[in-house]
Amino acid sequence: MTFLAPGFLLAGGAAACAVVALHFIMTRRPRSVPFPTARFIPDAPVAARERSLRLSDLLLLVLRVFTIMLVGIALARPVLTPTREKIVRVILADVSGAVADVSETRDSVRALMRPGDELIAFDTSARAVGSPDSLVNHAGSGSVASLSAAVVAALRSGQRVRAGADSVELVIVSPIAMAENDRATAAIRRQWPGRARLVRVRATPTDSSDLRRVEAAFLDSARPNFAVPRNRIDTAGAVIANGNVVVGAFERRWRFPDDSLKGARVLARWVDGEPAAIERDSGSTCSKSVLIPVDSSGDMLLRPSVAKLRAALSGACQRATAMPDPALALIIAGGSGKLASTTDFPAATDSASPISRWLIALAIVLALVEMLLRRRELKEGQGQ
Amino acid sequence: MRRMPHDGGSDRLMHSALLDAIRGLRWRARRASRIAVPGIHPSRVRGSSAEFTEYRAYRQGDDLRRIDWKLFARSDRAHVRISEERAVTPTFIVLDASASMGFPEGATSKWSLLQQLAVALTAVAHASGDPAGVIVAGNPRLTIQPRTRRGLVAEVSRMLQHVDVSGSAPIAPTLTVAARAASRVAIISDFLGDLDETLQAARQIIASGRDVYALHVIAAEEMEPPAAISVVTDPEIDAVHRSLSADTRKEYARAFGSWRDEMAARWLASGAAYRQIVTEKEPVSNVVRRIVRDEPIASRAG
Repeated sequence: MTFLAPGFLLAGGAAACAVVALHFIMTRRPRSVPFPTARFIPDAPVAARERSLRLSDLLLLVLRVFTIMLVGIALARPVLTPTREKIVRVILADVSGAVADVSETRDSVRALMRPGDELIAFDTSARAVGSPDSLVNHAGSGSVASLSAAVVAALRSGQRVRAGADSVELVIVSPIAMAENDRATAAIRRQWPGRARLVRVRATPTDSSDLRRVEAAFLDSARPNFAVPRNRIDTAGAVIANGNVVVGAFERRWRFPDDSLKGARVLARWVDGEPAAIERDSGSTCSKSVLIPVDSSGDMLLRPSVAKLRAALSGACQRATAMPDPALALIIAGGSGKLASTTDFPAATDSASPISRWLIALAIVLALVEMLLRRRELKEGQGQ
Repeated sequence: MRRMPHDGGSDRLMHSALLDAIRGLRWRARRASRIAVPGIHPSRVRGSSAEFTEYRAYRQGDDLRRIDWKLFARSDRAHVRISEERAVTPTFIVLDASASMGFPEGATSKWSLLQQLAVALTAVAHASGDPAGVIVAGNPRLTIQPRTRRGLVAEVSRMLQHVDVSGSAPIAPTLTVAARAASRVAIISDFLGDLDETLQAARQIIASGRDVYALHVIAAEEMEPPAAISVVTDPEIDAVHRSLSADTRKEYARAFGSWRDEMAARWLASGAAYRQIVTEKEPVSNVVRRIVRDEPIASRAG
């Protein structure tokens, strides 16, 4: 056990010593009691002092010393230091649709994982997982994983495990598919202060049919896939796709219900953030749905931004890009060559130990008991 | 044997064990009574009862019916039969209700013992056919006049339960009042108040041919103060503050013992029957038995 503020411990000890000293030094003037034959006692100056150590006195002393010491220890902020490991691993397990067989990921993790290691499953988001066996339960969304989100989760996990190890090893079990990379991936990876270990698993086989280019058709009067009519038709001022903004008065007649967005990838959004075009996997095929109406009679189609928008929507389904990306693998595996030291991770800002709260609570209880004992002793004294 | 009158109610139940223990006791008079009312005690009045005592020569004015005619026939002289009369002894029990009698607090107080003694002596006197009464020297003075009617013991018990044991009312005036209506006066007190005046009044009562019993109640704690007590105050005299140490305890024991000896001697010299009764030392019934049989003092304090 270590103390974050050992000064309070010393102060508590000094206060406890003072209480013990006062307990033995202090005397009290005894209470005068009626005694009918007092006149037969020689008339000497009344200078009696009472100093009797009874059981209740000792109990009171012990309670007071314990109360003060507990408060001192609580204010000294004790921290129970766990047994430190040399290396603890933060394992990022890919359970996205890019993985051909999640059970392969599970087996790889099972072989790597040691007690004290942290396991994080990731696809579009990352979350801590208790055991490798539960990875299978997290699979099945079919969505594309985000390595950026996974590494951010690993950085947070590094803060948690810093107290229990000297070094932290980042292990990524993933096919490292192309689609898992985004613009922030390389920057976030550099935040991890050490090397990473890659364990490649098989990627989902690419279907040539998925790789075909899809021509996106802007909305005409027909109802798009997955969409339902809006309750109130309104107008959006712009649509955004892949960083390309198209400004215009787009009449919105359709919307995607929430259940249609599950497992879907958003290709374009209205200016208010609502999805304007999505693609969804269905079996071995991929379907796209675009809610953006473009009037072919005007000159809008001639604008460069609309052309870019059309190109963004017409790209191949992202699932088709599950093929391994050597460049991304190089980014991930790169680093200083050393394992990340736990000192490189910032400590949690609030390091208040839960023990302190319990110690304070116990001190309050002891103070109450001390008060009750003192009150009882007073009553007994009055009864005599 | 005359049975003790039945006093019903819870007041009697309070002292039922004590009353059972003293059943059959009679309070023997220490002096011949001057009262003509028939009773069980020897009377100074000579009468014509069947219990023959002596002959006396006939004097003019004697009742002719009291002349012993057989003796006259034998001796040719007229003699009158004189017989010993028996009379009642009206009894008044004077109780000290000063603050000092409340020591120590609780069931072992001197007042508690006093209550039991008063009830028991009233019961014994009542059972002896004597009018018995109780007078409490306190503020206010409470009185139950001597009488022989049923329910007296319960009445005394009930009255004593409601006495306020406080203050420092003198005993002497109450004693004088009691002596006017009784041939026998028993004072139950710790005699820490107006002792000299009480003794003087007692001497006058004794000189007038009445019986006086001085029952001195002492708390066991007064004989040997508890170690926990260190600073004490006289409950009747506010100015008295003393501290009890190892040295002063010895001095206290000596002074208190001397005072008790001196007081016992003064009471005995006055002609009164004197008893020291220490709380929790022996059963109250034994104490009562000693008092009414006028047994010699077994020990200095008992």
